[in-house]
Amino acid sequence: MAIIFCENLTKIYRSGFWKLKKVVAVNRLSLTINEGEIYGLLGPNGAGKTTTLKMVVGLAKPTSGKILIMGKEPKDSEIRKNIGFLPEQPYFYEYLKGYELVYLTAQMYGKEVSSKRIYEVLELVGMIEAKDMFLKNYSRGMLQRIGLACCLITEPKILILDEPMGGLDPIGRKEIRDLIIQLKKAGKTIIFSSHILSDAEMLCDRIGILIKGEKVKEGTISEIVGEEIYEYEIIFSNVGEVYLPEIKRLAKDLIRSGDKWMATCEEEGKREHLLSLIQNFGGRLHSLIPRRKSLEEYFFTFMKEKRDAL
Amino acid sequence: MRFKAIILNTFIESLRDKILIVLLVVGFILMASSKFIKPLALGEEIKIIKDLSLSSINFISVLIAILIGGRLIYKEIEKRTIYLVLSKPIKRWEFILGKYLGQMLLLFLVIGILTIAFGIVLLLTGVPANFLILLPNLLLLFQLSIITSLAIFFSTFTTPLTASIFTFILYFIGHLTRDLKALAQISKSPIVKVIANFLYYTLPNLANFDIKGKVVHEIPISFFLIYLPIIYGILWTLGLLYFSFLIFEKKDF
Ligand SMILES: Nc1ncnc2c1ncn2[C@@H]1O[C@H](COP(=O)(O)OP(=O)(O)O)[C@@H](O)[C@H]1O
Ligand SMILES: [Mg+2]
Repeated sequence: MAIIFCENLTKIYRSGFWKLKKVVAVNRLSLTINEGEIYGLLGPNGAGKTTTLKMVVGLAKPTSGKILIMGKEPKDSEIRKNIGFLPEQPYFYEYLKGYELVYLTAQMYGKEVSSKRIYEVLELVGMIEAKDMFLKNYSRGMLQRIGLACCLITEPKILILDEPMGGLDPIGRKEIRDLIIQLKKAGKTIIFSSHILSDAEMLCDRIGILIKGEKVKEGTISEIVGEEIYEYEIIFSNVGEVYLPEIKRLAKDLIRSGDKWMATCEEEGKREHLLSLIQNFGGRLHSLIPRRKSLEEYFFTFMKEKRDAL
Repeated sequence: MRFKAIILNTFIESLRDKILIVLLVVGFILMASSKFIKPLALGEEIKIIKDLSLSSINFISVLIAILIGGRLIYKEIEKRTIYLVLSKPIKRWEFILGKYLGQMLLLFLVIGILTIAFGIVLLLTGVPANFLILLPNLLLLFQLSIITSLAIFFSTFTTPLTASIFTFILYFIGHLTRDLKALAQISKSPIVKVIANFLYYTLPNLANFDIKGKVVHEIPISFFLIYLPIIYGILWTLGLLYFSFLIFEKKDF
């Protein structure tokens, strides 16, 4: 069943002093999101992802076209009871504390929630320690997490997340990814936007690719970019400093985040070598993720093909 | 009442703002200073204390209404916190109304605190007073309601600074409307007549809300002079909030 349905959705912004300049942000976009799926709306900056999501949650009005959320139009504000929305680069009320923000958010949904429930959600997004800190002192990653807590507090059916991994380091991205997977298991329908394919890889049932406001492709990831593996991402911890140079020599990249490390490499042979090194050094392996060709590369070839065709 | 959250949030924001404390302290100092003014004539002291205190309450609360009011809406747009609110099952008029009520709650509290301070000044100086001394504050509240709605109206389409300046100008003219009418009558130039008359009839007339002088000098006040301004204040507030809502409803964020 389609939980969100868009047909010929178009948004034209008029800008400039006399409102003469037209920007077609979204162009005749049709989308069907099914209940329980994770849909990735992907595309380069300026593709119209944010505009599309804003129209769905009622922040911007379509110039033309139709949107139905569970059969109702976005102008029916009651329908938003079913939606948790995380804006792009979320800004929050700086003068509030984490706990207060989540509490007020629940109130905006018209729901009284117990402090037990708030703690539960803060725990889920890993923000329980920062609950009494003012939001102005939060880092980008913390804002993203508290934003997710706000999306989840009233347990809406649909989550609309605009660049939920934006501005996070690779390990932060992975943690958000894991959280999204967990939410899907809990039966949520999730739409998120990103300009990075690897985010979408492990997550999405389907992706749609938006370029200049138009949907140019839609399908599962492997349908779109093929199965070819491009690099491996290994996350580990507990390896003594003295061993790191050896790992660094083998890896294409070695990045630190908190107490964890992320090594990347391109070949299967090197991957096996790295894994055994980490094991021999007594390290703890957290995850091993194969990555396919990046979306940037895909766009690059796609745009080039389009230009050549002209 | 879903917009309870908006009222609460607006209220907390102002409470945690340094500007509020600063202005309240200025208010206390102004009131306390009446102790040091040496009266020119005997028996004037009582009037000076009352007048200065009531004027301080007036001055501080108007300043808060204009300065904090000017950024009520625009700041949410600029900082994009409005995304958090309007993506919830909250209607746009509920947002405007919530902002208005949050600000009025704050002003009510400010007047309350300053009035208590006024009471302390009266007790310490042993100046006699009856409950009529509270009437100017009642009308002040309705005047502040117009000012807040003006600030909200302007801040739906201009920056906080511009909104505050516009509101201040209208506040200023609002207290001169009688002069405007007089000007229209005296002036020989038809253009001046038309402009002065136009301003007199279109801009909110705030002078009628000011009954401090009458109360301090114990001039009897008719019932009309209380309830007409109150009705006037309510009508202007409703009108301005309605227009703010119309502008707001069309906006894309
Ligand atoms: N409020 C606005 N006024 C004018 N143009 C806008 C506005 N919002 C977005 N745009 C334009 O619409 C296009 C799509 O933007 P956006 O939806 O933010 O893309 P994305 O989220 O994919 O990066 C861009 O060209 C952008 O400049
Ligand atoms: Mg965007």
